[in-house]
Amino acid sequence: MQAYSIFSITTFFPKKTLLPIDQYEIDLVKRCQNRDLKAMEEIVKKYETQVYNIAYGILGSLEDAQDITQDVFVSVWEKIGQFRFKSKFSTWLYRIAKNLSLNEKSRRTRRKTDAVEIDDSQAWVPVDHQSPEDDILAFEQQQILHRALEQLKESHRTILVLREMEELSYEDLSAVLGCSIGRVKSRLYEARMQLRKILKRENQ
Amino acid sequence: MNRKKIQRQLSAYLDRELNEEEKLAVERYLSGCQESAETFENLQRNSQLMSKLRQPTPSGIWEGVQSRIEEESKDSWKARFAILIREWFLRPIPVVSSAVLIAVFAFSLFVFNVDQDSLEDPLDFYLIAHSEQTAVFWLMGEDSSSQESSVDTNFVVSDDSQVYLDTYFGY
Repeated sequence: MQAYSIFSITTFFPKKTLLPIDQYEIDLVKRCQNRDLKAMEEIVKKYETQVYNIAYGILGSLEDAQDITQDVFVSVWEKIGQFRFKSKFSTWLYRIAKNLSLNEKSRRTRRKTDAVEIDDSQAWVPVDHQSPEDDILAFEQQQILHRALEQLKESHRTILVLREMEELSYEDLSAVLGCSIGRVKSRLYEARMQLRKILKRENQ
Repeated sequence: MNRKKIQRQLSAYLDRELNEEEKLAVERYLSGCQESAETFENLQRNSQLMSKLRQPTPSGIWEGVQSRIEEESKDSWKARFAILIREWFLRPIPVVSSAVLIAVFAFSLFVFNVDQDSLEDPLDFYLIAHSEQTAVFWLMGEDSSSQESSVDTNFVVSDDSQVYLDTYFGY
């Protein structure tokens, strides 16, 4: 009996573990696949901040981030029929957000516009409400940080945005970026060290 | 554990992704190495700075998405209709073959135009001939000796009828 259980079929063909996906989210996605606009509205409201910040982190412009956020959700609406529940909906969505933001970034680079300039046309909103002096200091730090991010490699910038701004787990990072967890660890280390180096230079 | 390996683990340590043993090794090393401790503090500060880049979402994202979805669904109907027109009516092969078929049909109507009079005449002729033959058979009788006939045998066929009968039936 013991021998039988050791060499059971699951030894050779282990059962695929089901992802802990929120049932309500699955229903929402299915409703969207049936072209339910109300469900789409719920999805947009749930994920707009994350998508907006991914776009903002990659593009460095609030205005462009808003446009890309809309593009991402329109794209989700068009492609949601292709989502087969093999991954988390959020990682699928973040992958679209990352790809569209990077496409926009490379398009702007090709057109050689002033894409690398930091967008200061709109008021930057500090997340923690501090004194005006602190706000100014924080704003300056943000400017420096944006400039430093611009100097990073695309893959380094993307992983930092996803990890530091969106706080994605290593597993989710691996799903969004399409690489192993080991590669996520090493790329994250390289990105952080590179950012540290650039910031050190900028602050001198 | 050597310095290089510890350095490489600082990032994972920051994210609390190390196991207990690795974590203790890094902490032990950081307490004894000023430079590595400074590097870690630096990474921690940059990480906090980056998390503060997060911005609140501007209002109207959904409204923008909704209007674009509705607009594109209208456009998609127009696009589908345009594709239909292009695929079925403007493509050369179906257009040329349809034109050839129409031309052949029109030509056949013209060449093989059936004259209605020529269709009606033989029919009329047959009907007239058949009715007259029947009438003559009934009037004259094929075998008058075997049948009791109430027909007046002195019946005189008019000249016109006689000519007609002689001409067509040889009576």
